[in-house]
Amino acid sequence: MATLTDLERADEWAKFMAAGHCPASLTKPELRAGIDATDNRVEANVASFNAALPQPFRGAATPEQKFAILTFVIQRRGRGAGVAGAGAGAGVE
Amino acid sequence: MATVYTPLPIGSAQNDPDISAGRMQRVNGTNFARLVVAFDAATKWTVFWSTPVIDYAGGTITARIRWSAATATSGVVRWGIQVAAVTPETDSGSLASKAFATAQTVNDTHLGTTAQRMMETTIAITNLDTAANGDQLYVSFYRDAANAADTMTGNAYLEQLTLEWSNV
Repeated sequence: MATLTDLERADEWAKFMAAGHCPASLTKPELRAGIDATDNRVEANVASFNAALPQPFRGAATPEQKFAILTFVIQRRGRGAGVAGAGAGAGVE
Repeated sequence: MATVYTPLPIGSAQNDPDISAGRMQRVNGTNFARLVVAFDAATKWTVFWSTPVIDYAGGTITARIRWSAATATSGVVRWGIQVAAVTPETDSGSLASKAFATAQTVNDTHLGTTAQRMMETTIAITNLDTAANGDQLYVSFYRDAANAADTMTGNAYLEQLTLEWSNV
């Protein structure tokens, strides 16, 4: 697993702004720093996240399935925090 | 010598389907709604107008830009404009392939505190494609969102664009 490419980060940055989530007082470089830091944080914690998963799930699940469970939980938490559209559908984007 | 003011109506802005286009949008306020052209924060979006150049003595044409931010309260918006002038009965080139003169830009800083406050800036257009009195002027207007100087998050709303020039 690697971090998102610069283009992918820029795409998420643009979508985040288009969705109206950005604090009004931030500039684009400041928001982009938040996107970069978030992706870096995910990357830095992939191994510890995997280690925290209990058996037999850890051994049985593919990397995609592990990201899926993480995505489901985060989307649910996003809905709980009032993030519009977070995890509104049943699937993983 | 007086100044001629030529407002380019928001409702007359044209989109080119081959180019990322600014989006005409009605913004509902508490007491009234208004029509704006919304410009994205990440991608360069462009709109076009056409107007006759009436009572033009020559010289610089000023583009007066009134704008607001959809959500942001800080940052810089970089606006750009290009014009192309056509002399009826004289110019023989096709309008379909007419090229614009070199773009000119301005960086305008959000005045802060309130998102949808109105701000104003100008571009002194000197790249006029040899525009003369009586010509038809085609205008390309855009937010240069991909430029590093453009730092404002969220959409920028064009509230009004007016061309100003000295009369004959």
